[in-house]
Amino acid sequence: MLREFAQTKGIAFPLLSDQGSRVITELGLLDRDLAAHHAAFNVPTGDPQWGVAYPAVFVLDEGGRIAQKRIQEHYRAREGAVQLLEDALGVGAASHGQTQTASTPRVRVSAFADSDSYVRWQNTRLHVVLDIDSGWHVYGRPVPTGYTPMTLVIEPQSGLQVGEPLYPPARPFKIERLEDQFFVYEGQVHVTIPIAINVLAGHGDVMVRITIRHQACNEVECMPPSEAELEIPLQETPAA
Amino acid sequence: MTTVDYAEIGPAVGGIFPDFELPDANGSQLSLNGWRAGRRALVVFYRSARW
Repeated sequence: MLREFAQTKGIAFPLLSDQGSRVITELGLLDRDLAAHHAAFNVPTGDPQWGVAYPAVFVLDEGGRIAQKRIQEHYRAREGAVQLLEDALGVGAASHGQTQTASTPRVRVSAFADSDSYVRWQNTRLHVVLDIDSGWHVYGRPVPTGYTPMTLVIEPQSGLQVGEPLYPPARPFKIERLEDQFFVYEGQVHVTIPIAINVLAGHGDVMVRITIRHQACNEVECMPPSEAELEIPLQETPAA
Repeated sequence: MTTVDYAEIGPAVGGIFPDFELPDANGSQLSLNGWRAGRRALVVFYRSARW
């Protein structure tokens, strides 16, 4: 079972089998809330499903000491591998999903996902990158009256769960003759959006649509507000 | 439903993770610390390769 799984998935790290749930019981990781979790997902608990562990990830340092513990409540929820390696071990992603791009006045917009495929219920991320021409900026919030701040909108769809976007810090900015302080982005702006695709097996491929709005200005002039829509295709990872 | 504080499940942060030995995909016994050999590691508990 495990050997076939490892071969199919190209897994190079060891997969261990805790027969009889001995080790997870000793470690206190046996899921005692399984029936309740199943009820939350509207599925009955079958006998073979007892004896599973809480979805837990332990990050060990060189001495075997626990540096981090990452536990999800529901057995279905998972952190994606790319995010896990980056957050837990500081290992940058060797690759990500294919990049979609669009040109808007003074700003090139691109977007990609951690991977071109999704695993149902697994947390993954979308990335939106704005490359702003030198000497130009786009607005964060608060925004001066009449200007358009940078906004990202992900089109809602059934099963698509969208988390809070993570924006980089914006630079405080004063406009001549105005008292208020505003915030702008310059250079390259990388926004990360956590998502999960919570669908039934066999749902098929998913298209995530992101609309990016912004308005580029420099010290003397502004471009009209512009909008770009990017489509990111995510293929369903087939069951093992 | 029992009430569980998910942060409290399993060995605590800051402690040494207990070593264990389990069969790998080829049936050979593998111990956590033997395999780690002084390297950092992620120990991931997953429900099943089947479902």
